[in-house]
Amino acid sequence: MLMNTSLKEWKGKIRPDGPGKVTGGIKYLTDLTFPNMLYGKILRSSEPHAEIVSISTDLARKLPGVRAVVTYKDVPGLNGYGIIFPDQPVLCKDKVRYVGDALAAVAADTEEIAEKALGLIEVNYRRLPVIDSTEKALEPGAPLLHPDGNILHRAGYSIGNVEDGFQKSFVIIEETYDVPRQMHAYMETEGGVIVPEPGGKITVYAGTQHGFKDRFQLSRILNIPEKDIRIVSSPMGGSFGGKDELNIQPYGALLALAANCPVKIHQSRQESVKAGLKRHPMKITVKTGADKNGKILAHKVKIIADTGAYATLGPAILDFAVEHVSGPYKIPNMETEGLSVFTNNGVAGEFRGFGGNQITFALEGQMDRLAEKLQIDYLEFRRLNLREAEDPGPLGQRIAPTNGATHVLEAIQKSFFKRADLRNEKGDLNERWKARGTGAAITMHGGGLGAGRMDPAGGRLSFTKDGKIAAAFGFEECGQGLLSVIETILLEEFNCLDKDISIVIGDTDLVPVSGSSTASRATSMVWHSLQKMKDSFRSQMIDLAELATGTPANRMEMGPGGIWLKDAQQSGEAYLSFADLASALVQDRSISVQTSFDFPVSPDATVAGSHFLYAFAAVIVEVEVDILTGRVKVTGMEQAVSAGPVVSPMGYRGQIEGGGAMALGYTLMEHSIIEKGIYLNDNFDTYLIPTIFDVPFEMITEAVEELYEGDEFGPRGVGEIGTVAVAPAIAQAIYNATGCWINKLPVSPELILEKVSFMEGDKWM
Amino acid sequence: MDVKKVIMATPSPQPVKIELELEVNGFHRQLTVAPAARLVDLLREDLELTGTKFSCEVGRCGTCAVHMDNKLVNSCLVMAYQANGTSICTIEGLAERSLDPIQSAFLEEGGFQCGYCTPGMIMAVKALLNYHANPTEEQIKEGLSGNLCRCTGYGGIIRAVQRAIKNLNENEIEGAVGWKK
Amino acid sequence: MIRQGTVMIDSPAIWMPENLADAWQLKHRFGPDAQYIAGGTLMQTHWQKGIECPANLISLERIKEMQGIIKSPIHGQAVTRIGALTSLDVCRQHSEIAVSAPLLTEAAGSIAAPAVRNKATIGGNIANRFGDSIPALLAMDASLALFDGKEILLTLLSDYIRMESSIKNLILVYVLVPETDGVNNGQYFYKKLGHREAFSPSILTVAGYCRTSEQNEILEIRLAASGSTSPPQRFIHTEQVLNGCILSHELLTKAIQTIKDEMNVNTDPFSSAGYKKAAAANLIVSGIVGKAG
Repeated sequence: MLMNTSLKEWKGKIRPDGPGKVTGGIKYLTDLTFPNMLYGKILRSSEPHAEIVSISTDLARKLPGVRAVVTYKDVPGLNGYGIIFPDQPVLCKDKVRYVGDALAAVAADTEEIAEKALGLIEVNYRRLPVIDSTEKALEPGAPLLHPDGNILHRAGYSIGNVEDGFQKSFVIIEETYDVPRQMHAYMETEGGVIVPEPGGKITVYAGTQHGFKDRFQLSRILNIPEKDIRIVSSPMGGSFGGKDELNIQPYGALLALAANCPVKIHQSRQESVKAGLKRHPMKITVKTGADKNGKILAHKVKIIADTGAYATLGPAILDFAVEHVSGPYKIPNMETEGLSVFTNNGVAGEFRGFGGNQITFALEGQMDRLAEKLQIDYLEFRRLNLREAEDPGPLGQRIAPTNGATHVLEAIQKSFFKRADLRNEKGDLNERWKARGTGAAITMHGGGLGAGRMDPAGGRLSFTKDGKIAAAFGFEECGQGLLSVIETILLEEFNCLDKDISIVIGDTDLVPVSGSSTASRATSMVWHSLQKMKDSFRSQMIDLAELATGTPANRMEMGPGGIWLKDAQQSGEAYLSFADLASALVQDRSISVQTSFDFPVSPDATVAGSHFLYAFAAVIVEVEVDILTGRVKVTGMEQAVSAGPVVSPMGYRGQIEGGGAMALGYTLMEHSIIEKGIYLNDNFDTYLIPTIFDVPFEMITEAVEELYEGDEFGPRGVGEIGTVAVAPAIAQAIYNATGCWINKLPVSPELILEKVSFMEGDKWM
Repeated sequence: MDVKKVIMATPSPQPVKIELELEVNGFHRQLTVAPAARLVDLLREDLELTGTKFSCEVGRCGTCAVHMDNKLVNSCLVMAYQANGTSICTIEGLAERSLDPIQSAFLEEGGFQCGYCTPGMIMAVKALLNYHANPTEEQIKEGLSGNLCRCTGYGGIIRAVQRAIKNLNENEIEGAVGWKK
Repeated sequence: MIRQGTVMIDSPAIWMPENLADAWQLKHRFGPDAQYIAGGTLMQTHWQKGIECPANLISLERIKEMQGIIKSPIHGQAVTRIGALTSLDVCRQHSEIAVSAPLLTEAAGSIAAPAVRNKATIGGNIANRFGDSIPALLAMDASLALFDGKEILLTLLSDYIRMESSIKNLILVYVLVPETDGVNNGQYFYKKLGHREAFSPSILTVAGYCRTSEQNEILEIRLAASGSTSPPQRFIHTEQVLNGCILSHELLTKAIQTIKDEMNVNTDPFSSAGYKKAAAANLIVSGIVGKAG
């Protein structure tokens, strides 16, 4: 069926949500309005650390147009939230711990009035010493930010004997790597509308990466049963982990219930910067030893993460970093210690890569320095230490066997030489004030939440009365192309047309529990769900067709537009259209298949959070360093990714390129600077993310689709992998161009300029 | 339309208002608004054209980009009095009977993911291609340098622009052939 | 002025005078309660950041003398007169400017991005005193025409940047760029250093003009710099050191030092003063050396 195939290709190109997005017709949740809708604003702390002496809202309440003002007194349930444990007050009562802490919220007829009302709320603070670094937080006698102290979480892993390993080492490299606080910078800031419904129910139209988790948390805060809360969470204008935790939802809900009107909150960029999550800054001290032949013998790592004022997913992120300290390499002796430390520096939490980006920068930095000392080619040095398919995972656990590491390294090795040739052909690359270099890095990245964590998945397939194959998943579309993934897999499995299917996601009243749209898990879980449901669904459909037509089931199959006779597939028309089939759904008869299962985990994992399914990536970049100013420009980037079969080529490429650009920003320019607990760059005029000028005009993505023999786990997600190994590749390229090692991100042109002395052997004229 | 009308008001406790006349996506509109009200708010709130987004509100992201008298502007940095007597085109005004070739190209090449920068980005591409039918790499980058995209890394956008150029040129050639006949 | 919607309890009143005298009178009448406005792109950004918007805005956009680009001789010298209301985009695209004030074309292209440049004016870029066009105009030895309530005064831009803020109340009417001598070995350069490749605040912006004899003797030189947190300046001392000398590696090494010594910059949260000095010196000297160097 040639025509059918080309149709599928076409479908692979157009996302279901595409037309709405290119015409402006799609309504984001921040675009919604409702009758009698009020506007909400949240009063955030002006102090990074203080006791609250008093909060007076009298003047604000008297301002004409103000309809509701809420403080901690108005929280009916638990005054706290947090995905792992609820240590962040919804509305602070006696203490503030960062400048995003909320003290009050106002609903008014207009946003302008709400803003004015915030100005009329008087808060008296008693300032406390600001803990603006992890060093300060860990000093003996430091003020305690939480009752249990300033250490949120400790994690560690040891194997073998590192000291023994170092003694046998021929070379040892010891470095400290310092990585910054990155902002997600999703273009749509947090927001939405919360609508009170009859009977004390509410509907929350606000972006999140896990609607059911929001429902659970809101139920606890509002003291309303979960079944009375409906969360509509798609579409979103980007998230990247940043909207996984609650943001404006509790305030909108409290105000909507207080005023009994729909309330819209849409944070300004400055509000988003102040209150929102960031990537954990980490200081990673690493000592690594290798023998003369280039075998790594020992690896000792200490990670200190600045987790900011509250927990959110901080513990899990540290666990992830600890797990990935050795990446795809076999190291016999390891000792890792990790600390996640509370400070008054914002709140760090979930961000695409989840601790992997930080630790990979450190690990790959060590690999480069060791290779250089040993005079071994840096890719060859990696190959020497690379894991093999059936080796255990980085925490000694059994993992799904995979050759991914070798595949991506080989892919990039080929490319490396190709590029090197290209450079030689071009004689004019050596412009006078430019230095050029290439660099590469590889990574291994776990998918899913990991062992010992609730990580449910599932989905539902049903056949509707109007003849549609309806798929429902509890996932969200934050731009990653999930709808496209669902559609593609459905079309593939059922050989049907796009008009035959309907997809529902991101609405807790309509979808089954599927777990979170995080941890590179959604694509994988959609595929797994459909594998579990397809046979049952297909046979129920064919049975229904037999009932409707009297034709034996074994003569029929599903096809474009309906049920087809197997032996008459050239006839050009379905034997029984889905619409006609639906009319056989009389009385109580229905077709609905639901599945629920858990994300695959390692059968013998002993460390919480350790993974079973991993994806791999290798990155090669080319940089141009301006030796007059120390500025670095990435002029070429290629990524090879091993994550199983590609579901949606356009989505896959988009994730890798987009992840690459985001990581380029992390490496070269992005730094959410906090001084004494206050953000210094609070908008896109000072927090700079890459523009079209900053990325290579053409980026190359190579998908290695091959899985290890017998692997039944299908496509892995690629939401994160494209961001992980870019920074160390750029750092290596800078070294190759200038001889300057990079230990700190974002790369400082100042540092490069100090180290690059182009005058040696050169003259101005 | 009387563009010459002097907008003047005595400061008073009453909110200042002006009668604004402008054309939006081909339709004549009259609005009574504050003279310094932002164009982005006029569009999104008064005219319910929510295709135009906002993100930084200081002209540093391009999410709110529209055309004013055929020129790309950030609607967060245009005040009502500045828009008086002008012709505005937003993303909603781009597709007539069918999608603009630029919109089709964005669909076909994956020029968007979350889609939030897309309306402004497409308006920027439209302005670029209005000015340069066959832009160079430098001109493409220049034309889109004020529009931030956090999802795509710009790869899909660049491919969409290249396809749009190709589509538009093919249309032109077909048109030219038709004319010769 | 955050998200006031279209109702806006506190909208400023907008005044649209037709001529310089009326504009001047309005400003005189309201004093600190009024501000002149042209494109307004920078002022709106300030209001967003919490700087108070005055109760009255005096829009200059209808004033004829502030519009247009014309070539005319002044005191026998050919000059290009660029109205202060000329948008940065027009500065970048205008064929006349490309010929007679090439550095301005380049500078205008380095400021913000197209959508901002379509509204922002050259007058605003100069009057805000940190604009990236200033070093370019300094290198071209531009003058400004300022209206003081009675008449239009001509001032060298290099003098203007040293004047105190009392000059703020004067209306910048137009910019005059003298035409460069066609038959010489003069060379212009302009370089903006930001934190990313485009659409970035300036860490520093340098520009210069250098004319040499065939023996590489410097006959005429102007060097300038500014940055988004550093006020614009001419490197008068360095110019004096270089003028009349033969270009050499040793001379330029000396210039590196005098530029660093002379440069007036501060450390800000994003870059140190030392870095700005070092980078500015390198960029200026490489500019003098030129591509052929």
